[in-house]
Amino acid sequence: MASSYLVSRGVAALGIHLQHVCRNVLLTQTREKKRWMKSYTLLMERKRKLEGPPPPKPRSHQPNWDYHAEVQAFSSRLQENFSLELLKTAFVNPCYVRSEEENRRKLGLEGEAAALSLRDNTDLRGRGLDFTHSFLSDWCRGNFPNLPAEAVAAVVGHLTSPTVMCHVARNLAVEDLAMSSQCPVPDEVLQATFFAVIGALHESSGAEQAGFFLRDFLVPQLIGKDLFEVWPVVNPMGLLVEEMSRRKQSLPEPRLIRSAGASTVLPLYFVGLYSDEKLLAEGPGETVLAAEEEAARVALRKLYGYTENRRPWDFSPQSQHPAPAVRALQST
Amino acid sequence: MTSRGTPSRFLQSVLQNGVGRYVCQLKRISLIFSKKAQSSLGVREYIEEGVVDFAKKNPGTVVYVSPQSCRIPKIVAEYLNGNVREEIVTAKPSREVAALVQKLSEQSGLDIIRIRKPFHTSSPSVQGQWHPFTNRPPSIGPIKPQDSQAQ
Amino acid sequence: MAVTLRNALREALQCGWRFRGNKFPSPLQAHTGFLLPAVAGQSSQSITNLPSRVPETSLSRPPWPELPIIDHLEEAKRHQAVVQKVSNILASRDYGRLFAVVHFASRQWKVTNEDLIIIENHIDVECGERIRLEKVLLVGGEEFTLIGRPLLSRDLVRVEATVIEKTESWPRVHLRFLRRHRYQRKRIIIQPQTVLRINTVEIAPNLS
Repeated sequence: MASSYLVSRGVAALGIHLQHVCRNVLLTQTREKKRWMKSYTLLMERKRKLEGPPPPKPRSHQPNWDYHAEVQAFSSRLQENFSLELLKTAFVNPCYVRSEEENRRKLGLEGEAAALSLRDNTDLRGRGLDFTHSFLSDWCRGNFPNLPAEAVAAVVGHLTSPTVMCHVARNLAVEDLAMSSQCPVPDEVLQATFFAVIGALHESSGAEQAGFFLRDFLVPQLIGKDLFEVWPVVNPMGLLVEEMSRRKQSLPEPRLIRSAGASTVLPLYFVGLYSDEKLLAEGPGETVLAAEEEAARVALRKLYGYTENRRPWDFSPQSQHPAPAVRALQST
Repeated sequence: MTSRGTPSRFLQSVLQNGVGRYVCQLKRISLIFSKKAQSSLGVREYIEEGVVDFAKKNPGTVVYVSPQSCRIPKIVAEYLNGNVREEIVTAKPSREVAALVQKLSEQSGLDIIRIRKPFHTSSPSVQGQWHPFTNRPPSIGPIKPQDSQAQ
Repeated sequence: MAVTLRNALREALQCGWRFRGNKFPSPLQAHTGFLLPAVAGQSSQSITNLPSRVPETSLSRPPWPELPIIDHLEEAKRHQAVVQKVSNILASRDYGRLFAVVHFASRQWKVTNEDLIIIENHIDVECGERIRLEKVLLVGGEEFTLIGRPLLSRDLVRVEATVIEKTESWPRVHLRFLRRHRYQRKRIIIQPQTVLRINTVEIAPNLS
């Protein structure tokens, strides 16, 4: 390329007479080893290194994007009957509307013409937030009747926290569809968009269907999680004493029941908690205090019914359309 | 040959798929082919015959058919977890293209690398974990009261 | 062989000892009279400390405790009690999480709810469909375990799974190479795989 440019300059210097001889000097091809290529690629490489990677582009600005088809596919992928109007509204964030209007004003549109005729998802996300909180607390109380109010709040708070909600939303392709002013959609905006999607589902198919949606997509994030992972308790022994006195049972007495390797680097103690001379729980630990705390946690889990081998949650499919394979098996 | 140096992962699924309802993990598939080139003959045939059926059968997947002037026809599959897989279908007959598209729609988009164990469980023990004190009668090695132990 | 020889010797010695103990009023006594002291003299030391000659070691008796003779009536009663207890648990549905050992794809899998298993082949089911794993070898809860002989009945246990993914294994390179023989064969093996999600492990309320 560079060589041909030089040639063209030389040709220009020669004068006007020769121009008609070779008019398209810039487009001449030379069939030879492209010796300019190496320096050119090295230069581009260095430039890329200095500038860093290019800013991420939203999926909607990349080739092959049909917004309507994507929204339709989103609704049928989740096997839900969204009303498409509401779903499209749910994806429009107020920050997007604001930035778009600013862009239009910059382009010279004034007043009425600059205003976008788009409804944003503010009321939908409020509705979704309320419904999510109420449904999840009801679900928690229904499954664990013995759980105290703080624990229920902690579990609901964990499920609706930005990390969990954004993880779910990213894996359901909400991020591609969400309209936001910034390109990697910020966590708060993504969470709000997901709440708005839940609100839209609640609006279009009713509370029961939205409940099933939450049960199928949000609640499985709790699988394999321990209660105290979700609900940090600093002093489990104090909580246990409180709980036992509330239930009018005699207070737990810790007793060292097993120990091994006390003089080694890996000592092991088992502490049992007794109440009315009955073993409530036992827990291991590297020191006696740690073992006692662990035993108190085990006892609390047993009291609240959140042990590891509790009855698994009911995720059975909705009764309207049972799976065809199961029906076939039943008939044979 | 051992495979210890190869990248590996454990068995997992995206968003606990299948616990509640099953979600097809392929969100978007684009067929990039040329209208003229010989190498994309099979893709063109597949687009004539099978792509509409595929799109009807999988309403959760958006199918884009984009003719470009290219020598190497490609299938670009985008999954719900954000992974993108590009498959090159140069000079493949339409039967093979159909099988490939079907295969891409049945996968979950997680990396295809060595899987360390063929099972995954989040509740490993129902009857309680074994430890050396399990089923040991309390008469063996009893712990004495604290003060007598100190003496 | 050694044991029999030693036994024979001991038999002979004991015989001799008894012989000396009983004064036989027989006409043979005159003949044996001078014979006996020799035998008796030889055996007198060994015979007196015979019990200490086979001392009590860890191998002198089997390591397991001696079991009492099984009383069939008692056994039946205990069995009845256990069955009653388990059926009470089942009837009241007072069990937590259940696990099962199923035989599937020529392997035995210990599964419980929400588990994932991967199978080294495709099965003839669409993705997202539910299948029922019928060969159940064992079902256990927290306090009971039911073991099939070899299988549990289909009406008793129900294990269901969803096919969530039909995929391929990572490409394994199989290379055969003989040095100095210009021999090299390379094969890349890709195995079809199926991922199953266990949905339910259910048990019927009555133990039939």
